[in-house]
Amino acid sequence: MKDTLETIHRMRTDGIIGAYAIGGAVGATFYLEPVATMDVDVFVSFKEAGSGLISLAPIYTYLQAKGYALRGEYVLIGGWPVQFLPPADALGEEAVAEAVAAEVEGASTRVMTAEHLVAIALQLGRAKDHARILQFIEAGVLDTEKLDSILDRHGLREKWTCFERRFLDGAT
Amino acid sequence: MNAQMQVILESKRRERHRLAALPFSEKIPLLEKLRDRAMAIEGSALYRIRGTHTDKKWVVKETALPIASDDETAHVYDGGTKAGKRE
Repeated sequence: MKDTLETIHRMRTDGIIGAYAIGGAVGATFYLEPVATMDVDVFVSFKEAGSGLISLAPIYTYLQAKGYALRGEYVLIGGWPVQFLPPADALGEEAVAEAVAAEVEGASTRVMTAEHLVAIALQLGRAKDHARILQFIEAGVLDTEKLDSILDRHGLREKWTCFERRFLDGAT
Repeated sequence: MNAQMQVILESKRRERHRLAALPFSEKIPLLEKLRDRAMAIEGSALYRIRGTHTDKKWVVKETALPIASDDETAHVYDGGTKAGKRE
């Protein structure tokens, strides 16, 4: 994992990708107990091609030149399948922009904040996303003011109210 | 819920808090073990044939689910065939 994080961070310093943030289960593991996952999700601000389309080509070219193997949409880095993903919307863009710096065994990396991970999970709304939100709440790692602000800013208030009503004691 | 079950659940909660509080570098070996275990389970014949003994194949929905706005439980499973992205 250290090699994986180092390689991703080097892509940033080499100018292959812009801002990035580790999300998904690995991102959540920075705040929670380790979560079973098979891949590393890296959200990146992609350079846009002239057409305005997002191009993954520079990433693949760079990594292949360094000897990393491609497997479908994944690149195997340090034994982990890594998926590079463009932010889906303004929430994703904000999550990348506001990611926090972290250090793992001397390797620098950037991780989404717990509040952004929760907001994205709420937006996705799968069963496992709901379970993860509950884990964040139970772990007591959320800044509720910050989360409220994100929910309001990205139109997720109603979804949160429904989530509260369904899963949390004391919700009205 | 009986008292014994409450004790068990509390002990699990404590263990999860302990794991959550570990530095990320100490979580990495656990992540890797979990990943290897998940891959081994997914690759096992038993996992692949699971559900074939019933008429209905239950596949976890990977698309966004609407949260029921009242007390009705949203349908977490359906009989569809779309297998989504793993995590």
